[in-house]
Amino acid sequence: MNDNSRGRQGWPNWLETLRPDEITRARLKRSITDAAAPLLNARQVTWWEVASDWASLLTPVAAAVAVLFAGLALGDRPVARSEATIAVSAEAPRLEEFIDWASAEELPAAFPEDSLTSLDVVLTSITTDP
Amino acid sequence: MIGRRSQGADLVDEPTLVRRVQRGDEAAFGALVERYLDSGFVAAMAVLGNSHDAEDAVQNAFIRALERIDQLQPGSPFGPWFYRVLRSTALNLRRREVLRSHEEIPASASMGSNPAKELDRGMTREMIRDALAELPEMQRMAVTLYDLEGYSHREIAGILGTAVGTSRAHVHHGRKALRSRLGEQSFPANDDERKDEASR
Repeated sequence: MNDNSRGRQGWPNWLETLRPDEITRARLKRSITDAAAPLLNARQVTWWEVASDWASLLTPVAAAVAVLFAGLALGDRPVARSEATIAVSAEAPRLEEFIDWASAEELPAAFPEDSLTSLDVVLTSITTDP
Repeated sequence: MIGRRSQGADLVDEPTLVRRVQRGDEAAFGALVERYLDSGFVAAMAVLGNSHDAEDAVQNAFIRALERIDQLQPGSPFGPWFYRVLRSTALNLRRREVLRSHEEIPASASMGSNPAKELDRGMTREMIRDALAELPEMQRMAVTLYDLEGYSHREIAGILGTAVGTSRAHVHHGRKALRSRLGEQSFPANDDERKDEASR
């Protein structure tokens, strides 16, 4: 391409001749932008639509993750059930065993032996009193 | 106009403008229109031969491009894709035989630049139009894109849907035919053509 033949904005002169005049240019630009306005407006999205899009995108993912975890949980379930069965079916300890476990030293301080003695005295006095 | 506006769209690179247009950015679309309005009009003139139909083709091409802008690969340049849309639009317009039979406005009345200067150069719009009209459509478009945008033969081949070698041949034969019609002074040979001539 010969640089000497170039016009405005680097166009060759022969193409420069075909360039639209200012009136044509303005009319054409206005008609394009007018026709494009509704299409561009339709493309504009609100934050709520964006959030909805993300939600609709993430919902199946969340569901898949939930199913995965549920599957893992069910996979562990038989072991837990067998332990529970053992625990339920085990024989309950008898009352005597609990009594044996409790020693005198472990009695609560709220019941000292002195207080038990004085209580006997009180009871005796009540029953002997006419 | 109701659309959203943003600042500095004229300075932004094309892939960014395209992304913004995809989100409905009116200023970004305006910047693309500003960039390709003149060249699109000239390319449409090369295909259709009159300014009224070229206007219709350019307007329809921009609207079609906007409707299909999601088809443009991310990061791809807008220009070659737009010219493909424009050419297809122009050819459809011609094929449907809805071209109006307007007489072209005399060159001196429609030229934006100095008509006297162009007449001095020996070129008017009618002369160019007539010279282009004698070429096959592929050659017309190939030569126009080559001189208008400085596109490579690979890019022109992509726009025309041909092989690279075919694009090269279209440009070569088209320019040669225009030069013989318009004269060496109006349509000088480029560096490649001079090398070709010298090698013979």
